[in-house]
Amino acid sequence: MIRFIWRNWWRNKERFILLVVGALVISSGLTYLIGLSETNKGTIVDELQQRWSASYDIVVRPQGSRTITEEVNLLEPNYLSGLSGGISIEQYEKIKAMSDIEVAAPIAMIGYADYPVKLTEFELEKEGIYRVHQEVINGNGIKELSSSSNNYYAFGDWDILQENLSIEVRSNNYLGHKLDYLFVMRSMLLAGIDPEQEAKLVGLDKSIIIGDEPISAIRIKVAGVSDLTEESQQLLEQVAQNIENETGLLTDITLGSSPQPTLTHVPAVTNQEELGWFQQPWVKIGSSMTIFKEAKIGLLGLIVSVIAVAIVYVWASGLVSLLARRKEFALLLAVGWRPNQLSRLLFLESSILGVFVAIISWMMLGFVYVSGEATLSPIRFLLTGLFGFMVYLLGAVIPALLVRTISPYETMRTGEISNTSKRLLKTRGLSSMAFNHFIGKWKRSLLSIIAISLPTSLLGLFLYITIRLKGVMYTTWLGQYVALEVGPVHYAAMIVTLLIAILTTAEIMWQNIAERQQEIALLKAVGWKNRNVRFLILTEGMFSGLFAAIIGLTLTFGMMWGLYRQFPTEELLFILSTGIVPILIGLVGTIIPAERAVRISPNQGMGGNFSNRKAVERRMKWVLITALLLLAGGFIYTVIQVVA
Amino acid sequence: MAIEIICTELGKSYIGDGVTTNALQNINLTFSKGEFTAIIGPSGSGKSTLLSLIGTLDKPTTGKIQYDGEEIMNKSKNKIADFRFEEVGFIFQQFHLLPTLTALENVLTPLFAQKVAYKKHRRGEEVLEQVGLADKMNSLPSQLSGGQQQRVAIARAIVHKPNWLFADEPTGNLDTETGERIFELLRQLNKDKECGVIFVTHNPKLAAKADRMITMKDGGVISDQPGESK
Repeated sequence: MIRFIWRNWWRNKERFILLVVGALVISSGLTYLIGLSETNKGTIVDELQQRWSASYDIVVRPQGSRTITEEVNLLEPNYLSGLSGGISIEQYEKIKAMSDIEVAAPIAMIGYADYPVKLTEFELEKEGIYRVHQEVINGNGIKELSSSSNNYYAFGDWDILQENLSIEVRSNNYLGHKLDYLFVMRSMLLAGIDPEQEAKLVGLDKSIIIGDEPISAIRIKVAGVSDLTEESQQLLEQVAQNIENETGLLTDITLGSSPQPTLTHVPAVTNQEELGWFQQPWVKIGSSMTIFKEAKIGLLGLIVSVIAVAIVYVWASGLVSLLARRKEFALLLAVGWRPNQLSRLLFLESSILGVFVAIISWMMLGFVYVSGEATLSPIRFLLTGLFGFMVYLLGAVIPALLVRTISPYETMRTGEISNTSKRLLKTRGLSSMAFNHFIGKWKRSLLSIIAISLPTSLLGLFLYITIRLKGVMYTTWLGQYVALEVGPVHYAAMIVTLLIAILTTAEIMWQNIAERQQEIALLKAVGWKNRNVRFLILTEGMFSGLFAAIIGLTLTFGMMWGLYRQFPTEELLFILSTGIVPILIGLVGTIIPAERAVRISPNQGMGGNFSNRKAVERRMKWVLITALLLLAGGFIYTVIQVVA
Repeated sequence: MAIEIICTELGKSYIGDGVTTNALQNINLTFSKGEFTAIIGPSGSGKSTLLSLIGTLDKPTTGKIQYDGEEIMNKSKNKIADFRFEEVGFIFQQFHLLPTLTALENVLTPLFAQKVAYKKHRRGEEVLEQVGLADKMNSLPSQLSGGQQQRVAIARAIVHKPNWLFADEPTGNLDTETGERIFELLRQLNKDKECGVIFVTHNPKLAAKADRMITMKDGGVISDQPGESK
């Protein structure tokens, strides 16, 4: 049976090449997505947790303490120090007593305190009057501010100095007693905390609290929140809501915040000249959670849809092969084959391709691994090949079921047979003729439509997510990290799905043309020009793309609604314009079949393109081997580049 | 081994878009192994439909067909397939060779899926020699003439040593001379191998050479008489 399968492939070279190309695309895609991309859901969560964990989950502040930047969820890096009280001890105790609160650490700003910093000790030997010239240079990150002063000191016998130099003021100069140290004055903000709570939170436990409404902010750690998940987020939201309801204070959830470099402009003020722009790491609230959510949706959706599109492709390919060989199968039944032998034949064909895909994937992974460019877990290695095999095996299910519906009687039928004679439009010209062909074969057209519309809907969704994330993804440090990590995988997956969609369309259109050779030959015989034929076929491809665009965009909007409960009114035009992509795919997938149709000569019968000529076979073998090597080499090179 | 095929009140109708077409009505016929029967009639008279029913390719809408008293069509699809393999060889007007297989491979298709007591390859070469194509074994159908293709199809029909040969206008796509040669080949097989041949044709001249000539019109039998050879 394997020889039978092989001959059918080998002597039907054009289709065989398509089959091999499809297998290569699927194996490369799976190799990259499952085998090599480390950025799966798990690693994103781990990364976020490791790099951006805060010691507290919620910050409680008094009413009216919000600044204008918080409208865009942006907090100054030292936002806590700008508050001076506003929360009473009573409110604090109330919060502390609430359920789910693990730590409630208050902080109270007391005020600025000056303190001297000793620099050098004076070592004077001779009596006399000394001048100390002091120049202080302060660097604020933008420029250096310097100030200088002179101080005069007398050094000598205490009684004489006391009698004659009892502090005399002359202009800016002082003459005083000698100091032991050279020093500068600095000021610092003092904050009061609850040592017990503070010890729980960060381990700092020596401080005091004063006043009536002395607390500026309370930092909360919620019990049971240890990782960055949607459950954690929900719990935090609930606790924050409770605090607001009971105390009337403001709350902000800080879990999953990310540093975000923020540009600030300092203009000229009175006699100070303009400082210009400077960048500070501010805090973007809730960014990790957003990024995490979107990245998770994106990646999971991508991998699932690549596999879905791959299965649809294998279905389409199997179905096309089934349609093309319907008569052949009917004949085999007529000469005594059992229906389940036909199913076995199809499963065997698909399994052979599946094994081929698995081996190619494993070879690619193995090569990348051996060249030392990537680490590989055995489970992932195994999964990559198995997925490829499963895609092909699953893809054979529908054709294997359908093949059982073929009746051996079909060998006896000749001519055009259609049980229904419905036509939506009257055939009046090229476009309506193309449309009727398209509708007439709606079942198989549907397959190419599904194959195209899946990546289309994803494309639309990703663009929308990108727009939504524009503020977070590319401005926060975390977002940049995720964008850099996830970006290539997204693009690779999108390209793989689009390629598979093109292949699916090409396969189906190829079959449509094969079935209509006589019709096209006839059209040419009655005077159709090459460009008319080309236009007819391309129009059919365009219809596939158009329907795929409609279905794909509907899916996109459906998913948006499911995810965000909102309709993208602002970005509507932009997202609608992605509908051009499936139409292009429909057209591109039809180019080769259309050219094949153009080549049909008016006197061509059903002779077919089958050949077993030795020279052709030899050439074909070389072409195949070279193409395989080139593809595999190119892929490995790309992977090494990406991974490196 | 099916010695006798009996059709009782056989009928076949097709339903499409609400219109019912009666292809066959009230057919009562008996065929015996070793007989060479021609069925003749105009297009649409039901000849091919009758052949496909007798050959178990399709199910009758009414009536029954018994093969030595057994109703094969009531059995499972696999059993029907086995029956076809053991008892029946088909020859079609369009030859229906698989375009990707060589002449020899085409002849061997019925044997691919079955276990047989004889050497498959040897048997394939033997029947191709029998139909005079010893030198064309490795040619693809597209490299053969119409007459040669039909001879390959005949070789395929007899490779598994069936008791019955059903030929659906086997000469319809051939010129007169080639058609007559194919007819003679079938005649020969009928004599040598003693297999029953049922032969549908448009050609009254060929039909007249059969042992028995059944004439059909509008889905019914209008005459059943011995041929000139009797």
